[in-house]
Amino acid sequence: MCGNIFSSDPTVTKEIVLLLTQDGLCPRCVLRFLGAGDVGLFRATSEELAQKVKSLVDDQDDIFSPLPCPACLGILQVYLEEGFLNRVVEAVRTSDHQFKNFICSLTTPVCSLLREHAILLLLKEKFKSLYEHREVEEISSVKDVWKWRSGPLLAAALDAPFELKSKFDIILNFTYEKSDKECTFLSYHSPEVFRKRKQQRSYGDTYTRANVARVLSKMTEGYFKRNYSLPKSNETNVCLCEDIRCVHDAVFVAGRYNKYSRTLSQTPWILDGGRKSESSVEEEICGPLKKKFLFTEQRFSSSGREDVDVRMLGKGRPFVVEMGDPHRVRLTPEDLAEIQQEINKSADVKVRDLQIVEKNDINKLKEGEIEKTKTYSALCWSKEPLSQEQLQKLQEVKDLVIYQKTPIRVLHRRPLATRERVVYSMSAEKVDDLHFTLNLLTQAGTYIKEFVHGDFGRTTPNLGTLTGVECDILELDVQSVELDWPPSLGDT
Amino acid sequence: MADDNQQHDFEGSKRLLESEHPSLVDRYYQSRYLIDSQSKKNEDICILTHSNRICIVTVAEWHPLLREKKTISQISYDVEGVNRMDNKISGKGKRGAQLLTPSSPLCEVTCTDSSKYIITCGVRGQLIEVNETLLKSPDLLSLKPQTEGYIAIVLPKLGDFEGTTKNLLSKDEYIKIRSSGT
Repeated sequence: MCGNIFSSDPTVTKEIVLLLTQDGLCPRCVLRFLGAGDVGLFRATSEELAQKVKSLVDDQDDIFSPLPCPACLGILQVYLEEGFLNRVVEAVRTSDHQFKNFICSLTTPVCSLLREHAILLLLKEKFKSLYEHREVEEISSVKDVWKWRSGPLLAAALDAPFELKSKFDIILNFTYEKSDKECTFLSYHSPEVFRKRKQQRSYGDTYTRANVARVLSKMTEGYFKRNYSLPKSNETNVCLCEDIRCVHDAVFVAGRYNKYSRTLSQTPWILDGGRKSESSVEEEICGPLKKKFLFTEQRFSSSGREDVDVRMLGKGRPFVVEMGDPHRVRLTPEDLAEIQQEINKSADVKVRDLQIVEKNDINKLKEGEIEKTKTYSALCWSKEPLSQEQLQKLQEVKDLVIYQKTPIRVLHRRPLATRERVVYSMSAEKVDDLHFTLNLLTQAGTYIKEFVHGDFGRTTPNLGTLTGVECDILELDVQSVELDWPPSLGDT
Repeated sequence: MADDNQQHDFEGSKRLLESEHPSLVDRYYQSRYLIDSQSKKNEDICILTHSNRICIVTVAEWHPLLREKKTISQISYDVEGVNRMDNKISGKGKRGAQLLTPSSPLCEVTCTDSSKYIITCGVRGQLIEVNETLLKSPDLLSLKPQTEGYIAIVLPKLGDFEGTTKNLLSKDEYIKIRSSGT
C-alpha cells in the first residue's frame, strides 16, 4: 500500500508512525522516514496521504499536529498547496521567459540536515534492528518529494514538460531565520571548519550544507544527542520562500567583426568614473543582440584584440558573445540575419557569419590566439629615406625570431618577461621619401608597434636594427586573423 | 564596403604624411627634469614619464657626460653597496623589486679620462629593469641617451606618481633655467 517501506511488520510500522507523529511530523515526512520512495505514491494529495498514514495506525484520528512539521519546516505542507504553486506559476509568467521545458531547483535551510540527522538517530535508538545501518541517503529527500508532487502540477499549469536536463530553471529559495543559530553548536565541536570571515558575503555563509554535512559525519552520536534536540513545533518554525527566480541557461552567439574606426575601443573603456571612448565594438554588437534575445548579462570574448587606434580589416576577427539568462531563445537563422543587418548599420563596426554556437565552442576561439598567424599592414616613417635595396632586403627576411620584452606601454599592468616571437615574412612599398607601407605575417601575440620602433631597444631585432635607420609607426591595420572558425555562412 | 572605408582612411593618412613627425618620445612621454642631482653641478637627469605612470630614467643633454662629449669606457650597476643587477621581480605586482628613492644610485659611469659619475634615480618607486645593453655597449648612452641609451625603468606606486614627479621641472621650465643661467 505504501510501496517498499523498511518495516514488514505492521505492529512495528504502527509504533514508528506514532513516535514520529508525536514529534509533529507531517504525513509526507512520516512516509519518508518509513522508507517510502515510490514516485507514484508521493503524487497523491495531502489528504490522500494523511489517510494512508492513518490507516497504518488503525485509523486513529488526530495523530497529525496542525503546526509546521519539524522535519521539512513546512516545505512538504503549505508549500505544496495550491496557493503557493499558483504563486510559482505567477512568478514564471511575470518573468516573461521563453522556454520549451523546465526544471525546479530548491535551496533548503541548512538546519534541515540537523533535523534529518536527529530523527534518524531517534529511529536508530528506538528501532535498532530496522534502522541501525540506515544512511540518511536512503531516506527520500525533501527536495525529491516536493518535485514528485509539484512537477506534474506545474507542468500542467505552465503547459510545458518537467525535464531533468532543461535549460530553464525555476529557482525556489527556502530560508529559515533560525537556521544559523541552530548550527552554532557545531562550531564548538569543530571550530576550524567554521572560520568566520571578516566580511560575510551573503546570508548563510558560515554554515553551508557541505561543511555541516562534513562535521556531522565526524561527530559521535553521543555528542550530537547531548548538544542538539529537535526543536518543538510552533507556528513560527516554518520556512519562508520570498525569492522565486527564473533563469534560462546562457545562449552563445559567434561571428567575425571588422573595426574601421581608429577611435573605438573593443570593450567599454571607463576610467575614473567617466567613459574614455563613446562606444565600443562590444556594445555595437551586443546592442542589437540584446533587443532580440533580451538577456540580462553579456560576456564578450574574441580571438585576440586590437588597440583602439588599430583597424581590423579583411574577413574580421572571430568573437563569441555569451548572453546570460536570455528571455527569448527561439530565434531562427533569419532572425540572426536581421540582427546582423542592424549591427551593420554602424559605420565603424561590421559583422559577418553571425550564428548560434555551443558553449564548448569558446575553446576554438582561444586556440587561435596562441597557435595561429596574423597579417598586418603598417604605415611607417623612417628618419632617413630608405633605398629600394633596403626595402628589398626586408622582403628577403624569412622566419625571423625576435625577442620582445614586455612593452613599456603595458608594463604597468603586465609582468616583466621576454617573449620569443616569429616574423614569418615581410614586404615593403615606398609611399614617399620618409614613408613606406610594411606588410607582415607574424606569429600570434607579436607586438607590431614595438617591432617597428624598437621600444627603447627592448624588442630586438627590430625594424631599426634591420634597416640601420630609426623607424616609427604611424598607423596599423590588422589584415587577417587566420582562424577557420566560426564556419563561414557565405556572407560577402 | 571595405573599399569605401579604406578610401576614407587614406585622407587621414595623407594628413599624417604631410605633417612633421613627432618622435616616439614626443608622442607618448612627457620629459621632466631634475637639475644638479645630488647637488652636483650640471649633473641633470631627464625622466621620461608615460601616461601609465612608468618613468624612464635617462641622462639629460646638459650632463657633463654628454655636454663634454666624454668617451665612456664602462658602466656598472653595482654601486654604493647595492647591485642593481640583483633585481628580480615577479608577477603583475612586481614583487621583489628594489625600492628606490630620488637619491638612490642606479649606476656608475666611468670615462676614458678617468672621471666617474653616479646616476641617481630622481623619482620614488619600484625598480623594474636596468638597461643591460649598456654593459656591452656603453657608448649607446652617448649616442642615444633618450632612447636605446636609457638607464633604468621605474614604476611609482599607484597614487604616488603625482607626489614623486611634482618636484621635477617641465621641459619649458628646464629650458628657461639652462639657457639663462650657466
